[in-house]
Amino acid sequence: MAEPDSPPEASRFDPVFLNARREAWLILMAWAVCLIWTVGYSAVAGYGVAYEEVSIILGMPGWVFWGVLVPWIAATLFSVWFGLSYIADDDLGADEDDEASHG
Amino acid sequence: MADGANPALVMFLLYTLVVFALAWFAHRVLSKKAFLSEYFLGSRGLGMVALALTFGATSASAGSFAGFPSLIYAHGWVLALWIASYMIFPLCGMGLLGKRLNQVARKTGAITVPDVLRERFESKALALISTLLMAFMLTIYLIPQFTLATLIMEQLLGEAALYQRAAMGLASVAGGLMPGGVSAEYVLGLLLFAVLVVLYTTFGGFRAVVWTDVLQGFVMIVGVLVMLVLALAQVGGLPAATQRLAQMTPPRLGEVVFETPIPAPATGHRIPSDTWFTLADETTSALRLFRINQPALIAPGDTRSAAIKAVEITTPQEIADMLGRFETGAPPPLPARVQPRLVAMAEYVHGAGRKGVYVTAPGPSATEADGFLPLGLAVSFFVFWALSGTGQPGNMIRLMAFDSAATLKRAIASLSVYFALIYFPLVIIFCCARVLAPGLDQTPDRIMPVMAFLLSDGAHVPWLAGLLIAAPFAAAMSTVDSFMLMISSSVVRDVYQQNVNPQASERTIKRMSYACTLVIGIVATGGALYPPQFLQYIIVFTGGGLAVAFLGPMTLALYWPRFNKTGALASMIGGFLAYLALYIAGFVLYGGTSPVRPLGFDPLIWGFAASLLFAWIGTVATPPPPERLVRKFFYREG
Repeated sequence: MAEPDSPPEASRFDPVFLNARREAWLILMAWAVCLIWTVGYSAVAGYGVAYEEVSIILGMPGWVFWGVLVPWIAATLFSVWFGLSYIADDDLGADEDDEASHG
Repeated sequence: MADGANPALVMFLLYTLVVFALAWFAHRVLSKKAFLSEYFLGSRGLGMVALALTFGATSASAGSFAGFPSLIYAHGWVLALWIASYMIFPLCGMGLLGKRLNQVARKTGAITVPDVLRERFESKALALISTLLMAFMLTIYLIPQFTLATLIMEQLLGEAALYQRAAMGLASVAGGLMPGGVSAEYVLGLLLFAVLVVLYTTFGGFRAVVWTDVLQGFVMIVGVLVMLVLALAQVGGLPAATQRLAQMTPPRLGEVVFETPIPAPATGHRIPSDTWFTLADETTSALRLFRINQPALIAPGDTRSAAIKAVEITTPQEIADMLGRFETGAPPPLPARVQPRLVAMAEYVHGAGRKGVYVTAPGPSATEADGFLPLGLAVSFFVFWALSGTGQPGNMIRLMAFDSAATLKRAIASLSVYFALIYFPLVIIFCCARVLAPGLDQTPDRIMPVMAFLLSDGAHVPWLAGLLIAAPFAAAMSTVDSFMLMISSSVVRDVYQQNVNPQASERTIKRMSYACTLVIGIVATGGALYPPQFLQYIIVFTGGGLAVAFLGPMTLALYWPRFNKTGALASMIGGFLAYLALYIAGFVLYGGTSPVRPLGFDPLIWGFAASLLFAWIGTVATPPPPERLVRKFFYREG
């Protein structure tokens, strides 16, 4: 069976499918980056630390600030950019039922 | 407090009126459009605000506003890590499947999730299995949602004299019919909630559910942001709260009995819940400070109460501060000659006597030796929230209902900001709650309403409590209505219309849909009359099970042309059974609700891995799908 990655086949595939698949890969990569950043940083700076060593930044433990709040802000900004600018504005087609009832 | 002045009651009545008005308008729209598509999918016409808020409100169940705050209160700042994957959930939940699922649903005229699977694979068996699995799991899921909503309702209305009179009336009329172990107040709250939610869902369909979700979405965010400002103001700023948390050591939890040397008088002795008392330490003669988390009663003629839950504060600074809040420097005295006697007090298994456990990971735990959130579980939860949310059929159905890609794009952006403004502030608010309302560690599920009243009273704005408590109630309601409608759509569309009576008239379908929504509401109400234990575990188990069963098959169905019917069936059944097996193994080995977690990872991760593995094996071991199906779903038209 033809796979959509082979160049001659790509033109036969539905552009909504190809766009959505490309966007899905990027979303999975963004999720993986968030996982590594958040859990990775927290593992190093938040686990097994004596309370005297915990810094406080903007009123919260430093590891929460750098390991959760900052990536959360970054992920939100990325999501806003991704939603508003990156996702292709594809035509998703008409509803089959509507077509049937109108036509 | 007089009925008319009860702010919570007034707020609740206003809220109910608005919900019914929305259902009435939705019903008017429904009468002008094709029934099935409108009733179950709002004619695929959701705009940006509706899509973002219905997705957000449905995802934020009662657990977000009852269970999550209680966990923050009990374990501190580590909950920021526990919930952290909500930072990326809107992008995953809407962006991963949204556009393709909406396109495929339009192409096939699908209005339910099993509809999509049946059309994609031309398999009635797959649709039927997925319908049964979904209906079964969602009905179980509804029961704890009804129970949690009723508990919130009791908190919301319990102090109103009208409510108490109605409950007494119910007890006198139907007391003999009530199940053991539940109060008349609980049954009344359950009936009120059930009638409200079943009526407007049945009457208004998907559009009513979405419109009320939008209302509830606004109520939730306003409630959270107002609480945030009040909590920070009353605690003296976040740095002060975190510094206090850093000094805290976990409390001791146990039981206490109240005794009197002479039998109690005809009125008995009643010691209200949350009463403070002190005892002198036998060796050092220092003061020990306790708070009871349940009311105690010494019945007339008796000399002792039953054993009730109590919490001992262990941080010297906290004890001094708390005693300083009392006018006399000591808790108000107990009734004359009544003395407390400790039955048992236990230390936390992880974190006892250690400062800093509330500001570091893995967080203190009364029962787990490795602490609340060991690293393996932190990874699991990061995977869990994003994947579990994406795989929920309740979220998928919303992705089939929006009107254009432009709507999806704006909804992803809006929901990302919305969740950031709800979940991280909740962590801050309930870290402050540890400082503002100490000693509730044995009944932390009450912390949300307790904080609502505390913050409102502190700000001298008592009516605000009604709004703040309406937020968790709205969260429960928006989840329940969506799931009821989804179960009935699956049963009517995928079982009745596809397998029993394909020629059913619109009139028959309409009656079936109304009846089905009503019956599901009644079944869930009946289940909640016997409130199950371990509510949060049922929610986690059913939510995870649905995600494991649906995420793999749906994702591959949309993105892998070679994926076939056998692979989809193997993925759905294999993933779910692997997930279920780890829970059954946990029950057999540990005798409780904790599943087996190989390598420290949650069953959802293993179930999802099994789902993908079975999908691959099932697909490559059998012939490819028919070329016309691949052309239909993956190729350009024409």
